[in-house]
Amino acid sequence: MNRGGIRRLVSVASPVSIAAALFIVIVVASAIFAPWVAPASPLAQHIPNRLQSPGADGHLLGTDEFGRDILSRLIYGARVELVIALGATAVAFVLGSFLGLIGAYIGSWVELVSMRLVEALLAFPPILLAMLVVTIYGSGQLTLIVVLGLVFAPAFARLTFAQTLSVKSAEYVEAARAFSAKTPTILGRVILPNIAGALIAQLPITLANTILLESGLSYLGLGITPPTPSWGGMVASGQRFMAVDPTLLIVSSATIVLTVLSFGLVGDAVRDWLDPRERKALRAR
Amino acid sequence: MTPYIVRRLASGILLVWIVLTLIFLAIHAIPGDPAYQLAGGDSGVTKEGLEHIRNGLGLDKPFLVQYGDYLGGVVTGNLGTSFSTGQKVTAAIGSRLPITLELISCAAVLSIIIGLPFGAWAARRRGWRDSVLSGVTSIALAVPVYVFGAVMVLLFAVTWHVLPAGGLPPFGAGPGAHIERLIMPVVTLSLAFLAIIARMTRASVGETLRQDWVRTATSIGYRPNVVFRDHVVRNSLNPVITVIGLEIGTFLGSSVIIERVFNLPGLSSLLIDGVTSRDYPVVQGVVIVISVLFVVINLIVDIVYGLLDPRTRQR
Repeated sequence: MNRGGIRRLVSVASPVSIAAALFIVIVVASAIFAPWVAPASPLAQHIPNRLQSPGADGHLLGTDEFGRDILSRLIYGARVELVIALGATAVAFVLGSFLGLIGAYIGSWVELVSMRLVEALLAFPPILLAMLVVTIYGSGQLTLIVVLGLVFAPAFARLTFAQTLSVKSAEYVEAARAFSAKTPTILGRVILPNIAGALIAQLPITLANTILLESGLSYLGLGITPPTPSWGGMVASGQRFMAVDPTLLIVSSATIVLTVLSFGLVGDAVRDWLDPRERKALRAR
Repeated sequence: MTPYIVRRLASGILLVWIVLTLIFLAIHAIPGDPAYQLAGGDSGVTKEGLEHIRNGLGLDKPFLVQYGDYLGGVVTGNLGTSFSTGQKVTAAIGSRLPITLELISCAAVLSIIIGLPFGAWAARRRGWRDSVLSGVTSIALAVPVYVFGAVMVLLFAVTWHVLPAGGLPPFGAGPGAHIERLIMPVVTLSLAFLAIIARMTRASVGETLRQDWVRTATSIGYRPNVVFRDHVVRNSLNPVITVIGLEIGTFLGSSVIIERVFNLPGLSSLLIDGVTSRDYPVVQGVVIVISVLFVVINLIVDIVYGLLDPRTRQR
């Protein structure tokens, strides 16, 4: 993306999507710089100080049921959350676009096998597929990355498949073939860059979805294993103690909602910006 | 119509078979020694644990025999016995399935009877209605179901004391208490689904309204309300039904979480306990039941699709 492109993106973006982008920047920055940003260790327990209200004793957002600093746990939780979201999205992107590309370009039995595989993955409710794998391999960051990648790969596969079909007989692809370029070259260097727009627009949405699903698993106690902080796990313990103090429930829920909403809004903005019809409408405004 | 239904049925059965095979492979065809991995991998495998799993899942038999036993068991309704309770898996599922079915069918009906009119209402006149719809639905889609559920409990049960917090007494013990405790779970489960239906309806009705025949009908004197009610809505239903089919999977998954949030004695607690204690027959059984349910609902959606739109039957 060149500088003019960025300027155009900012000029057409609504204030809401700019705010969403800013929020994502804050979450990412606090995840990267967690040890310097967090006021305390996310694991340091202090039972006498349990379930403190915000502001008490230097704990900006109070403490949880073990007397751990909630803000610090949210910040370190962002780390866990983003590593899984990015990892899973990368797996989904690579696996899905590979299946879609070869399925659409080569056709015949390759198409049959790859697209049947995609359909079979879609035949499971996502969270069930994740639970089945977690039962067998145990929960952990790596398992979660792989299984969430599998769950969201079909979306990329279908998108790539449709896009590849529509450009595969374009003249520039014919030209590459006439120059006797090898199939991997055509797929990677010619087709992929030309359909990248649609795939990129899918990225923020997939990030939001992986965060939603991962925190759901962690909420059920099947995702990130305590005491490692995870936003979903924090909502679960917040719910257990909400009659005493609802702070934990409210701030951890709000963090998840704002993050997912922001990724969604940024995704919408990117899609509008990449879609020429929408772009014209935006410019006319 | 009949050939269409037969064709859909055949592909549904094929899909069920693929799903069953994948579940079988996931558990019985782990690279290396499946029993070893299933007993806990490198952390804490005991000799008894290994034996237990080998016998319990029949992993000592030849692979194809295992597959045959498994498929035969599923067809005859024998899903094995639970490792931890010794109860028949079919019986355990049978006693909990009605609650799950009750929850999802109530929520689905609620989502459709609110989502469709809401979407159509927003599509009729663009402007503020549109903003209301996109605002409300964006939030409904970004808020995870368990957050919704927890906040509902916080507001309605803990703070205002207007609804009971969780659990579900059987309908026979008192319909009032039963329905009262079903309100929050059903509303929570329907929110996201409702939002998707409303959005799709808005988009689809909006597109239909721009068709030439709508303008023609209005200009030759049909009342706009009549055109809208009798023709526009019906012609806009197809994409909505497609989206319902696509989203049913997420919807079923959410029901698993909702049951945990509100402590409902449905399939979810069985599944979650099974996952935590590595009770494979139970996990396998519940996953089979929900996945098959998913395929069946999609099949019904397909058939409804064909009923509503004769054009799709030809394919």
